[in-house]
Amino acid sequence: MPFLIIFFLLIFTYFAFTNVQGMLELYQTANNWFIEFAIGLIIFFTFLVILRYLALMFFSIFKVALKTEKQTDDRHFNTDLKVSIIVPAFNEDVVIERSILSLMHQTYKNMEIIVVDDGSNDKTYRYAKRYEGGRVKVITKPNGGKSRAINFGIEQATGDLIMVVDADSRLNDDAVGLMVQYFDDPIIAAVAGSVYVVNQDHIITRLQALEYIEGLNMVRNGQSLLKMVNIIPGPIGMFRLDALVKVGLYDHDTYAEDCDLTLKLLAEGYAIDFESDAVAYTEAPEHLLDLIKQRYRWTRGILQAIRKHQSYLFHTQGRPSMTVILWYMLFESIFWPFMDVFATIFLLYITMITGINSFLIFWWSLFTVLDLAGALYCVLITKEKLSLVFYAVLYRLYFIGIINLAKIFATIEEWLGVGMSWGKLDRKGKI
Amino acid sequence: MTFSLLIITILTLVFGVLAYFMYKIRESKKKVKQSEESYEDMLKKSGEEFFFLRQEVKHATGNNVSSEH
Repeated sequence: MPFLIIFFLLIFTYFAFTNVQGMLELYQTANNWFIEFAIGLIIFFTFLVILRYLALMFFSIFKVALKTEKQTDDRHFNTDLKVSIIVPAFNEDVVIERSILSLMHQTYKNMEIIVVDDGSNDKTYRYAKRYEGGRVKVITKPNGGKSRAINFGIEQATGDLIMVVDADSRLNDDAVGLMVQYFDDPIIAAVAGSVYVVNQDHIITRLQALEYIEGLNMVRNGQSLLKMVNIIPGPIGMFRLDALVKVGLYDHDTYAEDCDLTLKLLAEGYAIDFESDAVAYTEAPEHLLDLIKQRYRWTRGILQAIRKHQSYLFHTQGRPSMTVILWYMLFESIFWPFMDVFATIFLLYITMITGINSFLIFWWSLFTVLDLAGALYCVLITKEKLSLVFYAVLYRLYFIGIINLAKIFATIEEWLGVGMSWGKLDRKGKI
Repeated sequence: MTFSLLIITILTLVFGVLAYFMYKIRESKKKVKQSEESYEDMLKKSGEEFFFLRQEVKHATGNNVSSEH
């Protein structure tokens, strides 16, 4: 398999070289300032995105190597720290029972489970109540949003560590135990887990499964080498209570409360790690419009969180990692989606006016080969199916374009201040 | 291959834009639906035990006749 990755990387180098060479030739022969400017911009951003991709992949490989070495040397489980698992739930009656059961089956026993019903108008509270007793506590409050529900749960918690788990997620049995061990280090304020898509029965959910392992889990694994994970995912995240209290718990002014909290912790000087083997299985949207709805909220929420911490963009204020992370997030959320769509339209324009279509093919091949190599690596280090690797072709051809367009529209609407709501997705109960 | 890629790229871009506006239309329809008051909401507001709804029934003659249920 490593040979396959090397093979993909060699093909990628060929495409990259040919693409850049062709572009430079066009740049030299074009007597049009717009074409020259566009080519310069595309080459610059392509270089940045490839650098980002390769750096994260190699960081991730290095992190896996370090982790394997640590596990064979010294594998111990600290059971002194009590964990309070908060499950905020609003209209989750289809999935709430399975979620609670997966938490009750955890191998780590020094914990409590607090289900917070956020004023659901379905049977969530009634179903959750069936499991009350022992380590499980079920409370309800008037509807007020996810962040308020989590804070309400934290107020009732008696643990040293707070774990937040989405009600539509199911954890693997050793997830809690694996995450707790990171908190021996006092600088660690939070640990993120891996999120896998459970309902891989449609093309659109398989594409998301690939995106989750390659675009989210691999990225977090790479970021964790520097202990700078930028988003603790909603389905699985563990926090040190003291750190949460110090930053004032969750705020209610963004639609990406997890991203906002992570940035607050980083701004306070804490480190954030990632445990790839602590897995949450979650339902991904099965319909394109639901997927757009989810990404629209994510993008606007992330932009709101960046705006809250914008003072770090041009001034490190003693936290250079915050500045790096904010620029990285801006690149991911705004610059690259705009650039990707712009480059595609520009290359289509070049094809139409010159009749040369090789640029478009090289552009697409470049990223597809990179995605194939990334997907292969991710499938090898996770328990996902090998067949997902081949979806990398569709991923670049169809999926990313649509997602990037949704991100662009969301950015424009956020900039214009268009009103929005949470946009809850309907659950199918497949976790 | 080349031609297919061109067509797919154009279609994806167009489809992406269309899908976004379809999403916006669906959400605005949902919003309108949610803003409509339910029987329970009206009952809570009126403070009564129950109340009757009046529905306009259009007959073939074109005259509107109200009926109570």
